[in-house]
Amino acid sequence: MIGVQGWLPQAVSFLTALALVSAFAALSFRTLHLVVRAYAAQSVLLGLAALAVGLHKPAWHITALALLTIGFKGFGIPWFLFKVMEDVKIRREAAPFIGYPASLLGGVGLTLVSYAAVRPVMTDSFAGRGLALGLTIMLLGLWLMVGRKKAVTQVVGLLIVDNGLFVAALSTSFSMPMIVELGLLFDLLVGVTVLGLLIFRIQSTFASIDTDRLTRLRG
Amino acid sequence: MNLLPASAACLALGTLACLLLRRSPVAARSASLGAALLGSGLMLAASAACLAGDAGQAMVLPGPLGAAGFSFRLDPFSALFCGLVSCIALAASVYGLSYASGYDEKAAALGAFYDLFLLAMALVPAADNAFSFLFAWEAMTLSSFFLVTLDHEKASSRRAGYLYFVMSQAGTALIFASFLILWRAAGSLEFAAFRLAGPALPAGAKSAVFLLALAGFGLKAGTVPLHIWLPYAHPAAPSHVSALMSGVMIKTGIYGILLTALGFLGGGPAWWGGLVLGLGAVSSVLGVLYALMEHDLKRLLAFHSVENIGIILMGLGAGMLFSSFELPELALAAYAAGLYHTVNHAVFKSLLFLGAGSVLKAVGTRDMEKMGGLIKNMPATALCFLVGSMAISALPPLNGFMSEWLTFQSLLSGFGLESAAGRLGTLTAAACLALTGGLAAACFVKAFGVTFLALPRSEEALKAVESPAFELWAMAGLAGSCLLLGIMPGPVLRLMHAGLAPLLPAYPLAETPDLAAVGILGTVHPAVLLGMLAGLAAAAWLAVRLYAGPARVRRAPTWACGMPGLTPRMEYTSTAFSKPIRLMFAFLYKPSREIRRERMDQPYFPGAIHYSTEITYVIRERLYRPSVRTMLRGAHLVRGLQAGSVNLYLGYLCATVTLLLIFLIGRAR
Repeated sequence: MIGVQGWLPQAVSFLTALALVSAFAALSFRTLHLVVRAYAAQSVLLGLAALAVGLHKPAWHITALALLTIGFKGFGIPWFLFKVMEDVKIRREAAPFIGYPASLLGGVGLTLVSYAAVRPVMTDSFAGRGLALGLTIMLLGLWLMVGRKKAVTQVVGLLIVDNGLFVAALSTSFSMPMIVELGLLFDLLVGVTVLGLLIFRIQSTFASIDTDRLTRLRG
Repeated sequence: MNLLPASAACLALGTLACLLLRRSPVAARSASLGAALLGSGLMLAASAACLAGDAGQAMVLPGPLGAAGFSFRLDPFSALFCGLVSCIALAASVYGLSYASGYDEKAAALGAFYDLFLLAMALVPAADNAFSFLFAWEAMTLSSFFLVTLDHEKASSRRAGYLYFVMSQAGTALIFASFLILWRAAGSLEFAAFRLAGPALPAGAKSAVFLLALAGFGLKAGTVPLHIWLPYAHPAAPSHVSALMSGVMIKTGIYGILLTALGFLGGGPAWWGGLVLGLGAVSSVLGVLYALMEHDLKRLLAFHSVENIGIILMGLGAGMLFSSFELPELALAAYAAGLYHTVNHAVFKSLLFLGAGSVLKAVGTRDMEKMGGLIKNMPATALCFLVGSMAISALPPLNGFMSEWLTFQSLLSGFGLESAAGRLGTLTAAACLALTGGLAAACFVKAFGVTFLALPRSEEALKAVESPAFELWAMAGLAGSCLLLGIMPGPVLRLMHAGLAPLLPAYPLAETPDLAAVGILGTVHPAVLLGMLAGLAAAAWLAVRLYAGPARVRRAPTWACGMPGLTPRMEYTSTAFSKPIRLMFAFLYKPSREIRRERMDQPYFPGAIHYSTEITYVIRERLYRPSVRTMLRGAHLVRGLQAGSVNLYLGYLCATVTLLLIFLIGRAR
């Protein structure tokens, strides 16, 4: 963004780059606990980036949002997912749809595609980098959902897509409008709760949370 | 005085009142029919005022933020159709006062959709911009869909409703497409802008607009081959609704065709007229041929609607043909004949449907093979039905004769056309019309004879009672109109000319149309014909009286070759009556029959013999079934994509996003 000076761009770049690393981590972990932890770490990093923006401006509503994000996405949702996993007693992703090395390689490919796609569109290097990063994280979240069978992993994939959106918004315009961000948080709350309930239903119906059992969704 | 808003408000309030009064069937029924009577009366007054020269019958509700709003305005052409709708609605509502009590467990639904249907149907011709037109059009389709599926417990009603819904939506899509082309040219949704932009369109676009509108409106009108919904949907509704659907709803299709072809596009090349003429000829012949094979009284009438729409289209097609050859007087006569038949068909077809409704209520079945002998218990109903049958069979001095005769005359004057194809086309159409007239008469001999004459074929038919007074009044009013419209063609034609004035601004619309001047031959005033007929009958009666003395009445059983025990089972049935036609047209019907004997061990004394015969509906088998099959085969091919795996679906999503991004990269380079 024009007019942003000093330490802020570097801090935001650093934190969001770490968020990308945590997205790759989520792609590579085999234990469900670690996948959820990777998501929690990513959320906290993004919250810190937003906090930096809020303190730099300074703007109280971005600060409040950053704290809310850290609390809600970094701790609340992971806690809920841990609870769900405890109840359904599932720990590992035994047989993923796409193997781990292939997942990582695919992730690298998607990263290249999104960087290449963003470059001609964005002239501002900082915002362009941020947008590319956000797009990459979104695609990686989607890729995680494609490659895994466990419902919990797929929920985490969806949450990572949301985080990617957050990165894109943060780095191109330095925060979304308050109302949009609050709406997104509320959406997540409802979405995760519903998905959690859905996981219970899948577990009780199929004695497993592998989504490849859900093959009736066809004409 | 501007009566249009009052009428619309009346019908809308009737709809609301029915929904509020759903607890009490009697209250809902009274509210619905009261509002319908009042609203239709006001609409009729508004139409009459407009035809008398009052251009102020309008209703405009502006839309939000400069978007197109509702705009309804009557001009003489739309007033003609509005008036027709409200006349038939009045008759149907009077009839409903007693008939609708048979539907009391669904009184609120019937009442609400009935009023909504009337409102929408009256507003379709009144619409003054594309948005209002399509809105009213869809409201008309949807409310009639709910009326068709009122008996939703019956699988046949649900299937009829589904077919009707699917076909109507397809038709509406075509009309949308046609209006969108006009909208792009006009830059506005107002019909006034369409009228300016339409004639200036390039020839290709003009033809596209015309063809789309012809298919879309023709579907609603029930022209072959888009008629397949009509014989199922119309009989499924309550009879007074069937009367409205067959009598006037399908006429909105005729309105649409005329509005687009003449009003918006200002006429077109000769092949437009030829196409309409051909469609009309095919519809009329096929409609009456299939009607002959029906034993379901209401479905028989529904097939006759296809036939009569064909006759109307023949008149209009001939008019368009003459227009393109610059023969304004002839064209005008043909258009007026088409519109005249539109009015006549509305009157006699609703009369017949109302009569069929009374019969259906008395006997409890639509199967003609279980009726018979009803003339003894229901003489007034039988008389009204007879008048309707004679009118639809084009017998003088009733109205059907007048308009079919005018159509016939204008087709025959096609012999003077310069183009050989035009001459051949009009003469072939005239031959088709003659064939249709003959077959229609045969069909109504069957319909009336099997239903009302001879001995009752079932217990219910034996115990039938005369229809209640309201039903008789409604039918008697329509039967009287059949006679009036038949013996007073002069005022009616003047009305048609007044209605055609906005469509054909350049034409010599005479105050009193002189048919002899345009080469229509053999002009005899129908009132003279009626007088001659009455005189001949009186002379014959006198002669018989003088020759044979006073009439002696002797009542005796029918002679049965000396064998005792003549039962109703030995009567001429509807199937038997139509057998010669079935054999003559076997190439079309492809009939199949099945004879099954029980107890074959004694060859000379068989037990029961079961006989059943079926015909093939060529259009359904040759046109619709293969295309549906092809579509399903295509769907099976594509179905492999839908494997049921969530991961695969997510993969599609991911691949799409990635491909779009790559496309973006390619674009940026």
